[in-house]
Amino acid sequence: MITFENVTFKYNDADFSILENVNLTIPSGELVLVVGKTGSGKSTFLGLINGLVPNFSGGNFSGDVKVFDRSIRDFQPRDFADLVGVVKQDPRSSFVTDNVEDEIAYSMEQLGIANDTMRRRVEEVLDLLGLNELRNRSLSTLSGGQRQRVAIASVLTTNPKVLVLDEPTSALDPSAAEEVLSILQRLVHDLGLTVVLAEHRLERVVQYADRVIVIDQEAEVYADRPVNVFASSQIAPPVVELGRNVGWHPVPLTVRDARRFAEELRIRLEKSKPRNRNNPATQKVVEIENLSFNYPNIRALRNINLEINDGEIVCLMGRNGSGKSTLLNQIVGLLSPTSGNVNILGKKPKELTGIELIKNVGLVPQEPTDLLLSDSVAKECQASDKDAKVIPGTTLEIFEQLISSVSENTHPRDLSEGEKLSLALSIVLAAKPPLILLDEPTRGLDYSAKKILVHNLQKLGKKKHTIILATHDVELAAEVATRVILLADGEIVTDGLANEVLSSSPMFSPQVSKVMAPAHWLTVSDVVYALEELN
Amino acid sequence: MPSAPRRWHKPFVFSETRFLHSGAWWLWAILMAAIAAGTTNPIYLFSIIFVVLTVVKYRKSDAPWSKSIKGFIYAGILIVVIRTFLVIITPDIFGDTVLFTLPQIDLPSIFAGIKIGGAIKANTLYFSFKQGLRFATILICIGAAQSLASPYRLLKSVPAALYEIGLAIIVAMTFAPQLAQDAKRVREAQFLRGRKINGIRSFTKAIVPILEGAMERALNLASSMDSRGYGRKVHQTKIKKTTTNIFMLLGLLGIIFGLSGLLGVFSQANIGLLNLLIGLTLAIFSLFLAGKNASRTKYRADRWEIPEVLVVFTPLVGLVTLKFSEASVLNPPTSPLSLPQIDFVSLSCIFLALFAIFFSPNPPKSYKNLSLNSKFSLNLEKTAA
Amino acid sequence: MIQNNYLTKISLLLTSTIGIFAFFWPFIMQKNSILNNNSDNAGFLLLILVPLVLFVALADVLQGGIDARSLAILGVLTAVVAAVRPLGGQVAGLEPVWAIIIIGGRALGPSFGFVLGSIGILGSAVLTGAIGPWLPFQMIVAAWVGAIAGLLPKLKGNKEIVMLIIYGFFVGFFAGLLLNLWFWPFANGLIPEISFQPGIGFSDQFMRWIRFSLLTSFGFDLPRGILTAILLSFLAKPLLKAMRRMTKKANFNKPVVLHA
Repeated sequence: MITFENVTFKYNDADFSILENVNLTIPSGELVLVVGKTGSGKSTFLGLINGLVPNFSGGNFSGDVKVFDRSIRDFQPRDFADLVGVVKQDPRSSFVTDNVEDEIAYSMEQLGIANDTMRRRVEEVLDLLGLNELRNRSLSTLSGGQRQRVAIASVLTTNPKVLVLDEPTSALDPSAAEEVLSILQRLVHDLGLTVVLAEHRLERVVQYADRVIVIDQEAEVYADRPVNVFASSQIAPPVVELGRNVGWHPVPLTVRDARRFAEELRIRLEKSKPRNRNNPATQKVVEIENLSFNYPNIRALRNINLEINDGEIVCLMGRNGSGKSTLLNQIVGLLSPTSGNVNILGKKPKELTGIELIKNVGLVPQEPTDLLLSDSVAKECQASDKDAKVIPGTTLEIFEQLISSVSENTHPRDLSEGEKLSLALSIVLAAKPPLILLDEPTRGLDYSAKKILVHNLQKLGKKKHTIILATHDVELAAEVATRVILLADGEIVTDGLANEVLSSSPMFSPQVSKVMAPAHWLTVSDVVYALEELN
Repeated sequence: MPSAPRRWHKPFVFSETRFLHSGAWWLWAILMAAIAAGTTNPIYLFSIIFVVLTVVKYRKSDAPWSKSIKGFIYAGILIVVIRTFLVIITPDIFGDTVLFTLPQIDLPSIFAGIKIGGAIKANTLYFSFKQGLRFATILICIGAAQSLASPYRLLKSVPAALYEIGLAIIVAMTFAPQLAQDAKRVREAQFLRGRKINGIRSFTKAIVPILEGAMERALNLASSMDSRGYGRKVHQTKIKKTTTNIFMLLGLLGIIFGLSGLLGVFSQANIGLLNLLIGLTLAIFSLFLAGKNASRTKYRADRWEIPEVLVVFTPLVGLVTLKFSEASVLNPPTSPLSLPQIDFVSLSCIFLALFAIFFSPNPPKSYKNLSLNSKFSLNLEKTAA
Repeated sequence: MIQNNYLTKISLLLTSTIGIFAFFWPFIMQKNSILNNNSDNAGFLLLILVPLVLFVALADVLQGGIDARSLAILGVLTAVVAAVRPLGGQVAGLEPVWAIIIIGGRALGPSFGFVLGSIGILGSAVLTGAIGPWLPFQMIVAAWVGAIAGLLPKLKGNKEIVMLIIYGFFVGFFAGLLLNLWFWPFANGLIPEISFQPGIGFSDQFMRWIRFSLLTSFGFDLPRGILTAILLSFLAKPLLKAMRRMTKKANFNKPVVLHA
């Protein structure tokens, strides 16, 4: 049992309390989902559970947090190691050792647990999380999903009663995310663990949650059953929004619930069609012929043939390692083909450098921070103006159009994920390239930041920019894509209009299309628009 | 020879698949180096190099660190070449085999009339070569240890008092591959922003974001370590800590006085030796105390078993027998120029060290999957453009 | 942060004293020394003694006294040192390493600088497979380099940067000279005018060493000093700023206020 009593917390350099007078009780054995916008204090809330906040972060704390009667006022985070396990978004930055088995044993070594007990528990946990095959592997050779499982395993060996996870699936592809989440569910069901989980991609987790805690700057923090919370909360997965908009009651939380209501809606919309989102094409922008590319030992791309026109918004989808990023790197000229040709606007990207390159094509990398090289937003924008040889102030102007109210003196690394992405995108846009590439842009973005991104991308598409996105985020693809290309094992498996491809693929179909199948609807707004047309 | 033992059935202790204790490989290699330090006979030195490289060939794993021997071989060759070249400042050894004559240069007065060049004799050349070869052999032995022993396992088996040092380096090892990826990504980002990616300026521009990313990760890691119990089992009362400190300070003082004594700063030399011994004892005792203060445990620590003992024993025989060899064998005369002599018993004892291959278990092949990762290797192709 | 009480300071001072012996014993050694019967004796003794003393001192500074934050930063900076080490070229060029250690010591204080210097060199040697008899001596020099960077006077702004650049030149130059000293007694078989000979008096001994250095390494040491200074002129300002920002973020010694 975790109790928050009158908790108020303020960071040292902040002007206001991030959490104010929080009173909550989390009962044992539940899977609890924490939702809230970026910067609302979710991570602070999670940090309080084992005392990382305030003991590690510093700050002003009043009230009390107790985990099974152990108070964070009396104990340090390390004293909670046998009670609370903490798993971060990117487990790579939490790994201490070099291979799987040692990493799993690390906490027990710190607690001074006897050798035979350690041996036994490591074996148990390896079996529980299906990691036995990987036990001798070096951590740097693991895939994202495997890494996350090792991170969970490494905190389970001390037999904690509570597991705290901060966005554990945001870097994972859909199948790896499902794997991790089903493990969490098993831990709750079989071992009676209490799991506290923060996650932006609600569509992935809502179905597993027993309870939802809503953290909002403007309102009191409260906990309730998911059905009650999502009847009214601002943040909600698409299936909930669909239910609310169509007026289903009680609001369905899962695709399965929604399908019970959907029959009637499908009949009503039988004659309607989703809005046409294609922009008329005037020009070929990307031409790829017989492109193959090998890394040492790996064939990353095989025989790719592709033409993309202006105004298209293309989503590249597929598993991790299917060649999405490699294809983007080929188009921007970071890599050169082993065989075949890549042309953008009639030029070979491989031969473009400097100003010529950024005037033609821009890539926002997976970690937008990579693109940010200065120590303040203002300097970053000035540098970008200089790189792109445009009128000083251009980048800042674009940035302020994308996102309002960010202080120019902020260090780029202190921005939120959404702000970082916007800044990186503004830098790319400053040179006005006709072709814009984004690699995994929605990692760590909350719903509102994602909405801003979707809006901006649609606007760019209207302005005849060509946009190519590599993404796992099916909901993003459903919102913006005019065309979807599925890659597997370095080959194009499917290439077609967004609503056809997305609604027919089991792994990559958005919630709305799962609910409305076999009809080809992708987004809530399309359904709502069609309903309005009918009336 | 090297592969011969494989035809016999090895008893199970020797044919297991596991890493030999890293300490055993280090001791083995240091003993080989000690043999090399005791002789300048090229035949002996080449034999040592042969033994060491053969053992490395059959007992290194496929892990990345196994390749470090190569660098040491190159360094060894370089040292032999340079030392041989230094023949020009090697004193003239009595001998008569003049090979060729270089022009002689008189150095400025600060060099006290040193002359460089002149007649180069085969004797002097041979002498220089032997000197270089000895140092190269010692280097190759040390390089072999680094190829044979997993640095990671070595760090894992450091004594409790050195735990924090070991952990800091383990963290560095875990972090290094990520750093390489960060570096690659930052260079790519510079390129994507249309900047130059060659030259010192772009290097220095890249290093700041790399370091910032690194420090950010460090703080994440710290919070993770703390919430996983790091530092919890270091129960230290102030008295215990102070006692440890005082023992150590006294120990260090003892060593200082001991050293001064040994170097003849004081009149009585024996006091020096006594002081040094007392100082060392105190210092080591303080390490022991420090280790006692923490009560962590070690998961599947490498154990010292029969194979370890036998492996360490193999070069010992050679080392001891060499002590009884004649001086003319160990340090063959350079003048008159003659082929180095050998003493069959001591030479064959050196080859006994090859039995390390037989006694040591097979190293596991656990890093196969690393090849998958090679796609992360730095391949920013456009650098040249 | 690394504990910084007077006991730690004394132990680092004593360790440094032994370090001075380790390098300068050829000039201290008297004729009546009992190690005098063979020119290698004292050298081998120190080769064993130095690493031992270093480990004792480091263990004492670190054990129980280093928190997770300092340890993680130490580990990560060690990885950075290892990563920049190969950039210095194959011939033991440590210039980029000096730059990192100097800036680290400056930003995080003399004790941390001492530890960063020694562990950074040790760790990078383990990582790059460059362990050898030279290692303990490099560790001592690097520890000094880091500690002195922290001890230099507190200047602000560009004055500080200029100071670090000048310091960098001296480090690059003298570190090479110092690191020559440990193997000088072992470099036997060269002409007597440049060779170590026990008990011949300080000035004669010193001149021999100077000649040895001029003949062997001086040609490398001067460019090394200049290169270190150049590197620092590029790196000092931004890296110092970045490290100070992160140490502020790391929240060392920041108050945790618990209200009732």
